[in-house]
Amino acid sequence: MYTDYKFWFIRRDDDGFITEVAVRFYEGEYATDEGQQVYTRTRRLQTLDDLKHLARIVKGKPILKGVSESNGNMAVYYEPADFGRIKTDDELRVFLNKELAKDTTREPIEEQLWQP
Amino acid sequence: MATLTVYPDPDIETTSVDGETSESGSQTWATIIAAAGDAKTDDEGTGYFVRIRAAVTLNDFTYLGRPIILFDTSALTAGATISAAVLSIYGLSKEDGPGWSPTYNIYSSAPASNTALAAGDFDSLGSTAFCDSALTYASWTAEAYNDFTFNATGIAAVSKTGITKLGARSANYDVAAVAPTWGAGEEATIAAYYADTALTTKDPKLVITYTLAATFVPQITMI
Repeated sequence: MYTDYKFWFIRRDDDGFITEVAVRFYEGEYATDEGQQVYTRTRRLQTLDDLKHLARIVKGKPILKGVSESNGNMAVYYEPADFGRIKTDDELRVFLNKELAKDTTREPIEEQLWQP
Repeated sequence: MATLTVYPDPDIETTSVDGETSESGSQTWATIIAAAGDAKTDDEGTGYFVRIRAAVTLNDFTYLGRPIILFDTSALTAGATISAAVLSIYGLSKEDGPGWSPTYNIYSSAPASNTALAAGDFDSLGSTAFCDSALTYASWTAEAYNDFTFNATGIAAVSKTGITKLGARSANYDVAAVAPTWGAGEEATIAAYYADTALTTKDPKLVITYTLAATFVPQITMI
């Protein structure tokens, strides 16, 4: 089983620094299509049960910051306290690839492998 | 000023779909541009953006495509004042054998669902341009972002609390109701990456520049 993420939104301040990010996580599988391996998402991951590897333990309980989309779906929310003072999408991807690598039950897709 | 960059979500969609709707079958230009639509694709990483193809029957056309792209822009919040918006589409390829030189602009769309396209959404696109200058075929670039800078109409169409619904059409043929010069089997096509790509570097994106009357306080929920 594989996993990947997509951005919902990236907010930047007047100076171009990233101040908020909302990310959608998915689960999927590879299948062969006309001789090529194609990744297909099968499920969105948006509950604490699905994303407990991203949670922090606070007073013994796992919590995960989320932000609600317009129809109530939950995206995972990050801020500079999580990823630091950065400006570029590439810097953000490095952070998120690292987040994805925390999942011990699913393998990150090739495009989002964390390179230490 | 602050910016908010938003992206559609990929299949399996939960919020905001993107993809292509189309009408096919040999018919006159007047008929095909007024058709209801007979096909859609909303789960492919790449595909046609705007495609026009002539039929083998004299003066008929056999394919017209119109993409639809939705964004959940609710993170702007009602208090935002938008000063600019740019829709960027990552080009895959282009082809214009007959030299029709189509131009492309962004318009409203109104698909029946926010999370899946239907063939019948083809006729839901508006005809009021969201950009003052249409993008020319010559300027469409493969493997790079192609930018559509919104005018006041386009900016006003950006929802601050919900889903922003956009689409694209050929401005000088489809919207203008002017048939390209027919040639058997000829076509002019631009193709693009959609949100279903495995990458995060080529998705459609809408960059909105805005100010807030008050400091933005995110509504964070613990899940």
